[in-house]
Parts: sequence; C-alpha cells; structure tokens
Amino acid sequence: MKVLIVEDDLNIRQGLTDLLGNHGYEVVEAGDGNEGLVRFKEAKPDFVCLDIMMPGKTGYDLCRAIRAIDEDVPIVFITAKAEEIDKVLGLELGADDYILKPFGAHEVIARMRAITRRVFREQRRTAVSSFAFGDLSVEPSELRARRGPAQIELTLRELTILELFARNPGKVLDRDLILDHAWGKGYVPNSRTLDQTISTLRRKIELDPKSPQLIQTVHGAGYRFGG
Amino acid sequence: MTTRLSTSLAVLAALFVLMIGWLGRQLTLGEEDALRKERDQVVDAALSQLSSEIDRYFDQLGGDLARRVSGTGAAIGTNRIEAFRRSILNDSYVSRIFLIGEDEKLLYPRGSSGESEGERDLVQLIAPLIKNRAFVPRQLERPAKTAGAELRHWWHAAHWRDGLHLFLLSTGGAGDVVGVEVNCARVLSDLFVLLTRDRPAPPFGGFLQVTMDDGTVLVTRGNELAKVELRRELSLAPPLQSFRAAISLAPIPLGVRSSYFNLTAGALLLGVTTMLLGIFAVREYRRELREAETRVSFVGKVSHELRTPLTNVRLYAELLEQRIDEEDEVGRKYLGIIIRESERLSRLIGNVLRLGESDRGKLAVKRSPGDPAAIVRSIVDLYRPAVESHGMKLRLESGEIGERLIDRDALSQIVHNLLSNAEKYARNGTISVALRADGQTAMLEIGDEGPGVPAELRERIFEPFFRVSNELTDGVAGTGIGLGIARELARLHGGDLVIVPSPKGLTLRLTIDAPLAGTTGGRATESDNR
Repeated sequence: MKVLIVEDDLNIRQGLTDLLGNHGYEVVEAGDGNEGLVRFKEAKPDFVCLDIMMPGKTGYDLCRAIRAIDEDVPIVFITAKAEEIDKVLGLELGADDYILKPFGAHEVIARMRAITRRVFREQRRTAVSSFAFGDLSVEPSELRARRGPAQIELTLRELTILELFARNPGKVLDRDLILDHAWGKGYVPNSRTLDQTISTLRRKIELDPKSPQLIQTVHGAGYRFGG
Repeated sequence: MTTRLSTSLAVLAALFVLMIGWLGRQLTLGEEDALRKERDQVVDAALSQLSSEIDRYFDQLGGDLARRVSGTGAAIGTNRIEAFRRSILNDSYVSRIFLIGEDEKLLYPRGSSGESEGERDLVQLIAPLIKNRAFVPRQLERPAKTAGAELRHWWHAAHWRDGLHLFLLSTGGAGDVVGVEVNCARVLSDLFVLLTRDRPAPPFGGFLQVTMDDGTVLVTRGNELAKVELRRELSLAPPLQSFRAAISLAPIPLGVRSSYFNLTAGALLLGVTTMLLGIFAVREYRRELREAETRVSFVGKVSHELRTPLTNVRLYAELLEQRIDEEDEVGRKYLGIIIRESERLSRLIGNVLRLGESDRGKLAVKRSPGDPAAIVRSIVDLYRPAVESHGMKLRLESGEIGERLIDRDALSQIVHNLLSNAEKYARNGTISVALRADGQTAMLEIGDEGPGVPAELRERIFEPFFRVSNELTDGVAGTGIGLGIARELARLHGGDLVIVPSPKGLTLRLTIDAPLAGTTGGRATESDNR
C-alpha cells in the first residue's frame, strides 16, 4: 500500500517515512505542496498525508488539487493547530481525518490502520481471504487477528508476512524471500529488521512468544510457518 | 484607520452638521420672520393711531371753525360784515374767509378795489379752485362732517408755489359755502405739539419722522440710530394726505441672530466632537483587534513552533524504541523516559493552549465518531508503568460502550489531566478508573486513595493555577490548570466534572454527552463554542 507524505519539516517527513515503512507501507515523499502534486500524479498513492502550513502551495490548496483529480483517495491532515480542524474536516476540503502534532508513532499507525482497512474494503482485497492457524483467525481486511474474544491488531507488514506463511505452510522461507515480499525488492534492510519484526509478530500471535509454535526459526535458513 | 472609513466618518459628521445647521437656520429664519411681522403690526398700529389723532384734530378744528363762521353768510351785504370780519379774523386759526353763493360764484371777497390786498390775493388764489368746482361738496376729498345741528364742514388742501394752503369749508344747508383759509403755521404748530408732547416713544426703539409735502421734516422722534431700515410709511389723513409719517427700526437684535450662530456653532462642535470620538473609538477598537490578533498569532506561532520539535522528539524516540534491542533494558528505560516526558510536555502545551482559547472565548468541541472506551484504555495503559513504579495500582473497569460522537482530543485531554492529577497526588493505594454509559451519557469516575481535598477547597481546585497546599502536595510539580481545563471541556461537551463523595482520597466523576455514532448531533451546552 502506497502512502504519499507531504511535509516540509525534513525530520518529521523522514520520521514518518521510516515509521510507515517499518509497518509495511510504501512511502512517497514530497517537501512542499507543488512537489506533492507532482508526486501524487506520478505515484497514484493509496492515501495521502498532508501537512497544512507549507511554503508555496498549502495543504489546503494541495487537498483541493488532489480532490480535483481523485475524489476518493483518503487524505489525512497533519497539523499543529487544532483550530484548523474545522477547515480540515468540515468545509468541502474533503479530508478524511487529521493527526494533531505532536503525535506519537502509535497514534499515526492507528490512524493509518483505520484508513488501510477502509482502502482494503474499497479495493475488495481478496488476494487472501480470512485464514486461520489453529485457534487464531486472521482477517486481512480488518488488519486484525482474533483468538477467541481477544483482538490482535496487525500491521500491514505483519499481515503480509502472515499471508506469505499461510500460502506456504510448513515451508522454510529464507530471509531474503521474506524481505523482498514484505519490504520490497529495492529495500536494503538493517540486519535485525526482519528479526525484530518477527519478534514483534510472535509477541502478538504466539501463546508463548519464547517458545514459538506458529513462526519457527530455522537457523541459517530462515523461518517456517508451523500453523 | 483606512482612508475610506475616515472619509465616511467625515462625510457623516459633515452631513450631520449641515442638517442641524439647516434646521437651525430654518428655525431662526422663522423666528426672524415672526418677529418682523410682529414689529410691522405694532408699527402699523402706531402709525394708524397717529393718523387717527391727526384726523380727530382736524375734525375738532374744523367743527370749531365752522361754528364760528356760521354767521358769515348773514353778515354779507349788511353793515355787520366789517364787524363780523374783524371778529373772525381775530381768530388765530383764520387767515382769510370767503363766501361762495349757491350759484357757485364768489360772493365775498369780490376782488374790488375797496377790498384789502389780502382779500384781492385770496380772490386770485381761489378763483381757479372755484372755477374747477374744488369747493363743491360733492367733490369732497373726505366726507363732510356735521359740526352742529345743521352745519357741515370739510377740508381742502391746495398746493401753490408758496406752499400748502388749507381751507375749511362749511355750509349751513342754505346753499352758501363759507370758506376759511386756515393759518397753516398755526396748524403745523398744533401738529408738532400733538406729535411730540407726552407721546410714547416709537415702538422697538424706532425712529418716527413726519415729512411735509415738500419733503420738509415736520417732526422727528425716537432713536436716530434706528434710522437704518425703513419699515413702515403712511400717508396722513386729508387734508394732509401729502404728508407722510414713517417709522424706521433698527435691524433685528443681535441676540436673535446670535442664536442662529450659536446653534450652528454648537452643531458644528457636536459634529466635530462626534467625529473625533468615532475616530478614537474605531482606532481603539482596531488597536485592540490588532493586539488580540497579535496575541492569537503569537500563541498560534508559539504553539506551532513548540509542537513541531516536540513531534520530532516523540516520533524519533518511538522509532528508536522499535529499533533498540529488547535486551537493552537501560536503553529502553531511557527511551521510555524521553517518550513519557515528551508526552507530558505535549499535554502541558495542550493545556496552556486550551487555557488561552478559554480566555479568548474560543474553546470549542468538535465531534466525530470515536470509541471512548478505547481512548480511556490507551491512556490508562500509558500511565500504568508510571503508577506502578510508585508502588500503586491502576485498575480499569470498562465495558464496550460503542462508537460515540465525541471530541476525541478533548476526551483524551480530560482523561490525561485526571489521571495525571491522580498519579501526582495519590501516593499509595489504588487509582481506580471506571467507564460506563447510560443512554446518551458516558460517565467516567477516577478515584484515588491520596490525601484528598479539604471540603472548603473542593470547588477551588477547578480554578486556574490553584493548587492545594499542604505538606503532602507542596513540592509536587504542576501548573494547577489541568482540572479547570478538564471541567470546561466537559461542560462544553454537554456534561460536567464534579467531586463525588468517597471514603478516601479524591474521586472525580466526568460525564459527557456522547450519543451513539450514526445518530444526529450531540447535546450541546449553551453553545458548543464558548
């Protein structure tokens, strides 16, 4: 899923890029409104994050320009000014949500998840329907898994990894394959990127993360799905 | 101030002054006109009275003379004529007498050589008049008066090169007309006395002048300085119809005209003052507006400038947290502190900005679908590590109350402020959080087992910057604005924040109007904005 981030603050832009990238999103960046419009037309993202106060074209103007091209793409505004929210949400700009600065990573991901679920539904994503591992059922369109009454929130990357495992039950999948599938072939990973992601996923879905049954490590080779 | 506004104010003030001035002028002109008319009436009355008095004089004189000369006709042609003539001519009013017969021929004098030079001159004087039938009664210049039982008299004036000649004519009804040339000088003398002795001054301090037929001034009376504006003139009654009486008056007193000036000056002053006050008021308003905008702009800019670096601190701390080894407990602890403190700083900035909005009357809630239970759970989870690190417990009782129309940020801020307050002041025991819904109302109770708040201070803790001071609370960091902001937001959200009785510590109950999402509206307070 592709996200366009338009933010003039370099640190915030890069931080969001890293954050969303870690969670399985493909990120396209732009540093101002004019560049943002160019990138939108080129990349055709699945949703857009816009800062409001930017040099040149403001977030409002860019939102209108994007809406003139695409009425449906979800747009989330990033703003430090709560009083701008009325403009953002009420008055024909067509934004879907907002994130108030300063935001935490969790808050951003929560907003993105909500929008991702909506986009999934709209795209009628049925590449992998609901699937189950024992008592764990995974709902891709909800970005969730359920074990009994408990709901487990999943990131897009985690879901992508689980979908890969579900299609290859019992097979050992090497690290490069998993990285290419979940991060994309152009991604140059940190040596611990995959391990940390798997570790996080295990904490969510394993009954005993220290003794994983669903995602098993095959030393020197990769990982195997035992579900 | 804009040129347009200044011009508009100036035009309005000028129109105002012009209107007042015009009204004042109309009023004053009306007053002047009325005053003129009044003065004219008085002057006319004075002149009429004067003319009437002269008329009475001539009536009386004419009657007297008529009676005295009534025997003249009988004396003609007798020896008594000379005696009669002498007796008549001894009268100071009589210059000469003459008799006209019934056939309109002069009977006496006849211009014969036996008569005196004066008699002969008289014949020459009146012959043309007789010929022109000037003394015939039916050609009277004024109606004949009855001087007695049978006498009628009338006057006739004639003008020759030597001046005015006055004749009194009378008849006893037998057809003869007795004529008397009256002593003009004597008459004029009488008139002078009549017009000057014991008479009131001309009205309005005016000036009276009576002029004779040849322009000679007979009488003047009054204030010669008033001889400025000729107001009224009147021809005197016959036989002096060639005489004119005129009363001149001074212009209308300055006092009347000055009221017009004063009114206009007053209106001008009022207009200028009004305009200046208006300019001052607009300038003050605009200055205050600019200052308010500067304050708003400053607060907004500070907010933006504070929030941007804070965003980076939180974001990168959390990103780092995701990258750090799980075994690196110290590193995770340090990052945790960075994250928590940046979150605390964010909340503090949020509270300060809300306080600013409240001061400006701009505090408002904006509703959208949200899950109050999820919000409360996430915030409780945030505070749990810190609470437990103090040796306390944090207990949450919350069911699923569904998606509601709420201001998520406002609710988050309220819950943060309440938990922050409990965490700061509850040094032991349990902080309990209970969330439930009752129809359209969501209710949250947060109670601690700390020192509580004295009864007399229970409302004061909601005042901005107020903090309970005792040995247990002094030294605890805080701004004293959290609970006040929380209450204000709660009330804007259609609810309230109150202290409820509890066996120990402090328990606060938050209620907010939170209709189920998908229903319309949400119960507002007096307004959703304040």
